[in-house]
Amino acid sequence: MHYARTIRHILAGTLIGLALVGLSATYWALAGRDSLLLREDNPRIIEAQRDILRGGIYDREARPLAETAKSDAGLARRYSHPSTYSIAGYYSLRYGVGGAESAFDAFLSGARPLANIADYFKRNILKQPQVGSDIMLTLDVEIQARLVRALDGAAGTAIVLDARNGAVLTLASQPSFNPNTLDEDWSVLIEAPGQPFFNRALQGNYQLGGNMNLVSLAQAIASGFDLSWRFTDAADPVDLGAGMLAACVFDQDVTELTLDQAFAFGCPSAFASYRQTESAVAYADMLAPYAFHAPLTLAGFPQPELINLAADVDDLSPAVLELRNALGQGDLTTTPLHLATIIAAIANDGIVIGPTLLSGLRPPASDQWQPQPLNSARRRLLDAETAQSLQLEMRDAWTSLLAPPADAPPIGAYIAKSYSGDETQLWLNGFIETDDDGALAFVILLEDTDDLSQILSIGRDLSDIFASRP
Amino acid sequence: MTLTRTDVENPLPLARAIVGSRGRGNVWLLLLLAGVFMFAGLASISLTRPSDADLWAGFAVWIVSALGAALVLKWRLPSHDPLLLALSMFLSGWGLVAIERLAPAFADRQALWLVISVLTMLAISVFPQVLRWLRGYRYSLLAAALLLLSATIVLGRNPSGFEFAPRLWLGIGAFYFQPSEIMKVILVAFMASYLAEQSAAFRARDEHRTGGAGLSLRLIGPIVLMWLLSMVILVWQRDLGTAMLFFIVFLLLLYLSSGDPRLVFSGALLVLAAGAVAYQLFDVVQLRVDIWLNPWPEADGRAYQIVQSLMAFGAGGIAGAGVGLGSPGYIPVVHSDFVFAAIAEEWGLLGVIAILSSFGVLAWRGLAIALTTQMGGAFHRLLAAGLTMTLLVQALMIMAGVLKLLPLTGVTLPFISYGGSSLFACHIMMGLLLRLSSGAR
Repeated sequence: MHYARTIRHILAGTLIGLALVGLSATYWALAGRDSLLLREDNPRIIEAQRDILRGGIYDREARPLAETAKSDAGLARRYSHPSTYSIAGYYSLRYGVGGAESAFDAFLSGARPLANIADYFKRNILKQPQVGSDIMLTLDVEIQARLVRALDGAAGTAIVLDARNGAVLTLASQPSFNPNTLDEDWSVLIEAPGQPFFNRALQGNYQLGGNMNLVSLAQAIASGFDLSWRFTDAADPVDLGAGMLAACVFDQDVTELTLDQAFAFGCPSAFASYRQTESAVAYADMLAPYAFHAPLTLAGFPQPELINLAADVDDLSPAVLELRNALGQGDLTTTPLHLATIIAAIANDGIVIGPTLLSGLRPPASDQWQPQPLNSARRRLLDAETAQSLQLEMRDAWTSLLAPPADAPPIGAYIAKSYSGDETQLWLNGFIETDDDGALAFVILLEDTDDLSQILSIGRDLSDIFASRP
Repeated sequence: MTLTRTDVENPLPLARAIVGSRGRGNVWLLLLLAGVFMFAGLASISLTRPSDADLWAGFAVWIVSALGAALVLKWRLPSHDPLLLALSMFLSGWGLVAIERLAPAFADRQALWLVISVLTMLAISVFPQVLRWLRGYRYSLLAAALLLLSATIVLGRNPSGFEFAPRLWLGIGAFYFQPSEIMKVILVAFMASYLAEQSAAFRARDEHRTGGAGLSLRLIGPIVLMWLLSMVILVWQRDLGTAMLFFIVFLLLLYLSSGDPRLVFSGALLVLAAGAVAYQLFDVVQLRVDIWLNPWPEADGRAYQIVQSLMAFGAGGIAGAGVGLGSPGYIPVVHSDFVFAAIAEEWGLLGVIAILSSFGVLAWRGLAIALTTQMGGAFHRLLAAGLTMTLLVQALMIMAGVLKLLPLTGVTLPFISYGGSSLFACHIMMGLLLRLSSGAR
């Protein structure tokens, strides 16, 4: 009788079918789970993010930069200080995270590993909303606000580092955006010619230009070069080929200049002549410690964008290329933050320290800040004597440029020009000593301008800008 | 517990092992467990909707239905298989909780349908004449069912009100009914009845198998004609899931009657051929096959439903998000075709295994009845097998569909999905199985 046999076959087929469904469900629930849930079009991700009670972002004095507030419409992220928008970043359910919101997202969103069974129970069984930790940054919102005000809307960046420990007190980039209205402004912002999401301090890669004079001066000091040696025709412009003419930042009527005078006035000719006294090997050795090819940056933030310099130099002779390299218009570039760490190293007797932005964490339901370790990357860039000599040279340069009053805080600084693409950049780089024998290093960059009035104006206001320096 | 050949052919010892020697006592225990399960689910929902007192109304209806059914069956049909009632009430109760969670506006209506369905199930199981009528008036019943089905071509409506949605329902006021659901029962009864009458011919063919005689047109002709007629109407209505279900059950019954596996393979080829033709002719088939093969490029468009369904399985994991705490609402029409995905998200893989186990037990008990029923001969055996397979094939089609194992077919998950007609038809089938199980004892 086939009946019993066919019943068995049908039952077996049915059970196999059910088993296949079970295996398929197991696959999607376990093995294929991540590939599904991490898809950007998974609405559950957005829903989960919407319920996260995100931690706040505070400056070094615990002044709020970004906080999550409850309202009738749900949780809303509010940013308090326009000057810090570019570094605080943004948090949007639609467009994700940027800036410090992105770099420290794991802390802010509370996406930490489950610590214990109670944690698991709260998160997975009781479905309590994810709560993030507050973070304290090394930023000083007062200094940052003053520097941004001094930039007066110009495209550029301002960075201030504590020379002794690499703490970032200011990191501003302009133009910026308003994270409070990001969703509404997004379509305009991503098309804006000034690229407001491009953080110039971290991502901008600029020709060194006149900043190379600092490097050459350091090498001259370290090698025992006679700084009283006067270079002839030192105030003349230098032809760098392809229509590029490198001239003094500050016009000089004299024909002879020492190397330190040329440094103070930003005159390239003397440095071009000095370069000819050095061999190619010495030049390469001079540059190596500065590590311009591997710029120091902040972990978790966007990395510098590489630029292709080769296309513009195909028609130039080797001699002109060498000259360009000597004057910072060759194949070397720097980020403003990296340059700031070099200035900080000079102020710190030659020790370069990696920058740090995060100074403290405050876990949910705690009122105690837990200090975070500073960046431990540090190495000697210059010997202490050379660094101290450079400090003096920078102080002299600043004095000869602006003749500050006697009671002004001790500042060493210089102004430089660089040319990147069709744009001219102006730099104001230096340090200011603090009351506790420390120093703050600063780098201020103005894009697409060769008008010295604004940068000199900022220079004159430095005492006020750093009035509340720590 | 391992299922052996002896168990399948003589399931009573195994049934007793599960249900207990005092099976009647344990059916109360099973119903109590089902009730506790429901209570836990509703309690969890109530935490997310603390001010909603109405959500307990369905639970009260379920308790009354379950206790009433158990008492009536104990009184009027003492030798029925107690597992069947426990299974159907467990799955129906789970369905009520799921609908309360997913579409609370429909929960009262589903509870009302549960009452109607359970009463109908009891009436069918208690009155022996029903089986005789199904057999004796098979042509009349089929004609009436086809007439109702045909009526949907002209008078069909869709409760959603969408202009281009399939109009598979007949409606009077707010009351809607889907004739194809009743058609399932009547078509299975018709096929069982007809094939039972041909059992002598099949037996003769068995005895002369070496002669190589094939199935005569006289044996299968009327069935094929009826099936074709149903297919035409269903394809016309774009209800391809039900069409596929009818065809598979038809094949299985033919295989059961004839014992010839070539029929199954031929039928599978027919399905593929029909599928290829339908792919060319019908946009809805093309859509479902395309998104089955590769849903990812259109995850935000035409494949949104299936991709969200798979995400629900991922989000559920092993233990689930918790009842009321997942996000199954992202799946369109989740309370109907995709309720299995919602269960996967909120009850997790454990819930999925519970559903699969329940249907596995249902297959085992239903086919055991088909194998051992003492009265009614081949008709009862084929009817039991046909009803069981209808429930199981339908469940497999939709479960495999929401998991992307098969193209989506748009049928409901028996007993659980929202839909009065579906629940009603499932309980009619369960009533018939209960009746047939008493014969098996």
